[in-house]
Amino acid sequence: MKIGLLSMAHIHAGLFYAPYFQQTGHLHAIWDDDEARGREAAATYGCRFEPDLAKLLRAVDGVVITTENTKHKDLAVAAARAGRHILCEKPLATTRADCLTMMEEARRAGVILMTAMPCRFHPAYHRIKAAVDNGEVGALVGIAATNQGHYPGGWFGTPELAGGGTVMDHTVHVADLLRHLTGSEVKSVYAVADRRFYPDVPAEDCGSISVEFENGVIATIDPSWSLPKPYARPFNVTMEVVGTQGTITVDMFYQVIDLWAGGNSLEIWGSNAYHLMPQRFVDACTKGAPVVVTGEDGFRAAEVAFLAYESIRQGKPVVRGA
Amino acid sequence: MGARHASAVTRTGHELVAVAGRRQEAAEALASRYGARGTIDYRSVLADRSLDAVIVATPTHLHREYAVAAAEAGKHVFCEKPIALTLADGEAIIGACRKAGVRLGVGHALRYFPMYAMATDLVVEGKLGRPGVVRAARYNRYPMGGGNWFADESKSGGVILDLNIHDFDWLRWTFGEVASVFTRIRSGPQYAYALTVLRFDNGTIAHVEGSWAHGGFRMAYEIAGSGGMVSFDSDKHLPLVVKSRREAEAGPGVIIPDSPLAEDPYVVQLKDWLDGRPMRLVPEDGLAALAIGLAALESARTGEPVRPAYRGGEAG
Repeated sequence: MKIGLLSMAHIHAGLFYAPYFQQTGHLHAIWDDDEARGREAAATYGCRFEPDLAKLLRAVDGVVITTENTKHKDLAVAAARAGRHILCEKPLATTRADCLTMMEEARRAGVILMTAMPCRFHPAYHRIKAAVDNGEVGALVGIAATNQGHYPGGWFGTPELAGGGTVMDHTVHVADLLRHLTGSEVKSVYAVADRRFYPDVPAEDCGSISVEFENGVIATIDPSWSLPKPYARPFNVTMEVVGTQGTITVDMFYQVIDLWAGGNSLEIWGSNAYHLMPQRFVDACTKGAPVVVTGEDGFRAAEVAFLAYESIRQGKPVVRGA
Repeated sequence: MGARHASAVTRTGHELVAVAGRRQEAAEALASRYGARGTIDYRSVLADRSLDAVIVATPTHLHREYAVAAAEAGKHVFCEKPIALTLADGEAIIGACRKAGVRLGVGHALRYFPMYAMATDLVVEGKLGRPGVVRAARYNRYPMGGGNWFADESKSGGVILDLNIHDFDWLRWTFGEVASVFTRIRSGPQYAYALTVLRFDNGTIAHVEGSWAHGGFRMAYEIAGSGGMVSFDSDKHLPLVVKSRREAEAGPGVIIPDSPLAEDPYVVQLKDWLDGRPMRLVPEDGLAALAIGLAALESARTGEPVRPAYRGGEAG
């Protein structure tokens, strides 16, 4: 399978996708609306730089969209119309209309639209999901979750490119896990958010989101860019899962060794979900493996962020679909 | 809490004179450990002129009755948290103590726990910069024993007024007055779980988790500010764990985590009150913590964010 990487704008493009697809022999070309950045990446990862999007789309079987969030939709529509499979960074898009357009175009073209949610591929998550499904903790009651991180900098703090701040950036990973774990859809969302850590960044940097699911389970998501620099952990995904007959305490990326060498870092030895997830995209495209985290899943997760922004505007809980 | 306070009193340099309870046998059993007398007649205790002060550790819904009676008998009063289940009851206790000219202590012991007080100091001294987002969690088993009045919401106020109120008080001490409270609760046979989002006047956001659905006790916090972050977790920051392989009452293989201190926070708290030193909270703080809890219950009922009906220094 030949893969085109659409932009190096997202930090994950250089951290994960380009090296992984280079290593697995799938990386065919890089397109970027910043030509210098694209050419440099192409040289680094040993592939072609293609400044003409239409030409790139003719030459590949699938694309990975790693632009700024607000540019996802136009690239996804172009890829779908060219009949190319799509793996899109999260959030799927920054508006409901954009999400629905992407889903519809992919459906009409008969191409795969997969949302990049690596947590769903993490073996620790599989264990949690099995424990819940097996009834090890009884019936689900509530879940307090976090996806905190460093402020990533760059366009992530520019709402015109990111679609918001930390609520847009960090809500969706956990929202997707919560939907999958509860097997239910979000019913109502209450959220607060503020700019309290980075006064110069024109987007919210912290918040707290309270969710009620249609099956009655309650949950909260802490999406804050609250982890200080320097700090040994640049991000986390944690959950306190409470059931009628037990609990699960999760710190998903805490399979680490504690390293002190000119500073402290926690080096992760747990399985790399950023290998498992893109590999599934390839397997889905080439072997018919089921897509994990579809376009619709990506939309439903992003919808929690959209509802959170609506709640923040109104100062009260909002009901989905109301 | 009665047994804990009885033991603590004897380590303050003051004397435990009497234990009043509902069952003679139980009152005597506890009292005899400390050379005190046990009784079911609390009026006889209040009538005892040799006795200066009374600790009220009854079920919460009875605090007003006993605390007011003690104040009227001229005894200094220490009232376990929450001060009461309603603002009117709390105000009545405060009013009765003021009228009688006796000292009223309210048992928000968390202010005396060093790991919590240290965090408060860091925030107040500005070491963490501008506070941003805070998480406080408190987990325990579903309450058992003691006639199991804790499990009866009409007596204890449930997980919000009995458990979360610790963190509500500590957070208000640390970050100031609460502007709004949003809470969701789920409860059923043998479990209760509450998730609360607080917004403070100064803009700080706090997430407060309270559970009577866990297998054992755990408490934790995390405070992130523009200048840094501080966190504590009783499961992680633990100096010792005793793992006994001996057959014991509780069954074989008992695991007891422990974090001993030279100065028991409950003793320090009672000493402040008994020795007439300023306590780390005034009675109105107990009322304000209760008001946050009542706002949480109202929010859970109505589904809307609620402003506490009483805030420090404000009339109800």
